[in-house]
Amino acid sequence: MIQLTDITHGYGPARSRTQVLDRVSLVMPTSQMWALTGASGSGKSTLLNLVGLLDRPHSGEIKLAGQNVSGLSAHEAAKVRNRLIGFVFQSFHLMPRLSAWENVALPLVHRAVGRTARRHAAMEQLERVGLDDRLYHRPEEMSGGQRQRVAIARALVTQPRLILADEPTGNLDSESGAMIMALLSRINREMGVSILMVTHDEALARSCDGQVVMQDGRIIQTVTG
Amino acid sequence: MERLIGSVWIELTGEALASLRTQGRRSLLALLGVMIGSASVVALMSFSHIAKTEVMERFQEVGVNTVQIEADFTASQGLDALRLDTTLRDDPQVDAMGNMAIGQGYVRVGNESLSAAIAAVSPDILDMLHLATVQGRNLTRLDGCNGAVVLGAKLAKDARAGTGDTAYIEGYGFQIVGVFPFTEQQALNPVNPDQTAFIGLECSRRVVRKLGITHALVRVGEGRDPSEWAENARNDLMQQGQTVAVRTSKDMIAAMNSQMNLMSAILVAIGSVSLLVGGVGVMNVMLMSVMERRKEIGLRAAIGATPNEIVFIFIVEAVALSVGGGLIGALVGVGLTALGCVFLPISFVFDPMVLVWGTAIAASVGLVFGIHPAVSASRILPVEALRAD
Repeated sequence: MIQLTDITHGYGPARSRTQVLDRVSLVMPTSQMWALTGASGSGKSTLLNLVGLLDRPHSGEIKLAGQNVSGLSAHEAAKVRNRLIGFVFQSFHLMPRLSAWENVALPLVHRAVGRTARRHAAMEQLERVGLDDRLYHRPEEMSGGQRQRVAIARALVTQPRLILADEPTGNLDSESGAMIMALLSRINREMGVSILMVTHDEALARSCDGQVVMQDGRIIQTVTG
Repeated sequence: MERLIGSVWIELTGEALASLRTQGRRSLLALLGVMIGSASVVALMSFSHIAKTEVMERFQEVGVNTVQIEADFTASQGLDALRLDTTLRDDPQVDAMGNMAIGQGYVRVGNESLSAAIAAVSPDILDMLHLATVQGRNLTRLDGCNGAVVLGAKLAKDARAGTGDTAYIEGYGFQIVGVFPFTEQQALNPVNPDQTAFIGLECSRRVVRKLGITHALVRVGEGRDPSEWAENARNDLMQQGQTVAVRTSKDMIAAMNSQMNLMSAILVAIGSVSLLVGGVGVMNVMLMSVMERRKEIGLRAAIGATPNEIVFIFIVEAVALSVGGGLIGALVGVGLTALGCVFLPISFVFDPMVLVWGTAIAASVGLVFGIHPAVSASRILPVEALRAD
C-alpha cells in the first residue's frame, strides 16, 4: 500500500535547514494496521504528513497503491487525498458550525455529491461508529471520544484505501482511547482499509500488524507480524 | 426536491454562504462598507439620470426636429425677415417657422421698473414653443405693433402686473393682454420665458432696437434630417449675405448627451472612491477570515479540496458580501435620490438600470478585492494550516 524510498525532508531555508527525515525507506503492505512510534521530534508526524501528501519531501519517492505520487501538483495531490486517503487527527479537526453528519459529509462536498446522497453516506458511517443518535449534534455538544468517532466516520465516508491517524487517542482518556483503537482495528479487519497510525503508546503499537520505530529522522527498527 | 448529484461549485457556494452567516457582525461591517459605497455611486448615477431626463424633456417640448437659426452680429446685421421667409418658409421640408428679435430693456408697470428680456416675436414661434397664457390671451397676428404685450410669469409677479395693466417698455406703452404660466427654460428658446416681455415682431425695430431678426425657429417635417436641412439652410443664407449659426435639437441632444455622459462618468468615479474603501474593508475582513480559518483551510485541503476550490470558497464569500452590500446600498441610493428630489426643483425618475449597475459594480469590487485573500488561502500548505493554533 505504502512504498517510501529514500525520503529526505527538513524545515527552514536551505542553508540552515533542520533535517527531520533522513533517507527513510519503508514498505507497508495493503490492508494492514501499522504503528509509527518514537520519541517526540523523531519525525513520525512529518513522515505521516508526507505519506498523506500534506507536504512534499525534499527528495525521495512515495508510492501509494502502486502510484508514484511524489511529483504531483497541488491539484492532483488533493484529488488523490480525496480518493485514496482518510485522515484522523489528534485534535479531531471538526468544523464547529457543522453538525455531526455535515462534518462527516464534508469530503463528499469536494466530490460534487448532492446533499441527499451526502447525508445518506454520512448516516451510514455514523452508524458504523455507533453515533447514529448524534446526527444533528455539533462538536461542542459531544465528548472527546464521540468527536474522534465523528472524525473516523469522516475519514471513512469516501471509502478510502488508507487511513492515516496522527495520535488518534492522544487527547482522550484511557477508556475512550481504547474504544477508538478497537474501532480502528475493526475497520481495518472488516473493511480491509490500511491504517498507518502515529502513537506513543507501546502497548497499542504492539497490537498492530507492524511497528516502525523512529529516532532522529531515521527508521531504526521495523517489526512485523 | 433535494439533489443526489450536485456540482462541486454549487455545493461550495452553499458552504461559503453558510460560513458567512457564522461570521455575524464582521460580515455585517464589511457589508456596511460596500453598502455606503454602492449607495453613493447609485445616488450619483440616479441624479445624473434625472438631470439627463430633465434636459431631454425640455428638448421634447420644442421637438427634436427643430432648428434654431441665430444671426451672427459680429459678421452682419440682423436677419432680414423677407429673405428668411422666401428662403426658408417656402421650403416644402419646413412644417412651421417663427422669427424673433430679442434684446434687454426696462419694463415699468406703475412704480415698479424691472430689467427684463424683450422678445419681439411672430405668433407662430409661441405655438412652436407651446407657450399658452394662464391669464388673458396670447399674441395674435392681428396684434402687430398695436401695443399688446404678454408677460412671463416671474416678470408679471415681480412687477405686480396683470392683464389690463399698462406696461412701459423702453418708454413705449403696451397693454398687458396676457401672462404666461411659470415655464422651465426651454431648449432652443434663446430667452427664459418667465422673465421676458413678449411683443409683436413688428415692434422689434422700435423697441428692441436691433437691426432685424436675431433668431428664427424652424420645425423640419417628419422623416427629414434636421442637421442636413440646417446645413443647407445656413449655406443658402450665407450666399445671400446672411451670416448665421444653426443649432438643431438633434445636435444639441448629442452634445448634451456627450457632456452628460462625461459628467456621469466623473460623478460615478467620485462615488467609486467610497466603494473602493468598501472594497478594502471586504479585503480586510477576508484576510482576517483566512488567518482565523487556517485550520479549516488545512482540513479542507486534507479531505480533498483543490487550491481552485479553496479560492472559489473565499471569492464567493467576498462577492456575496459585496453583492449584498451593493444591492442594499443601491436601494438606499435610490431612496436618497428620491428624498433629495423632494427638496430640489427636479422630479424623481426611477431607472432600474442603476440598481443593476450599482450591484454589478459592487460585485466587481468584491471580486477584485477578494482575489488576494482567496489566493493566499489556497497557497497555505495543508500541513502548516493544520498545525495552526
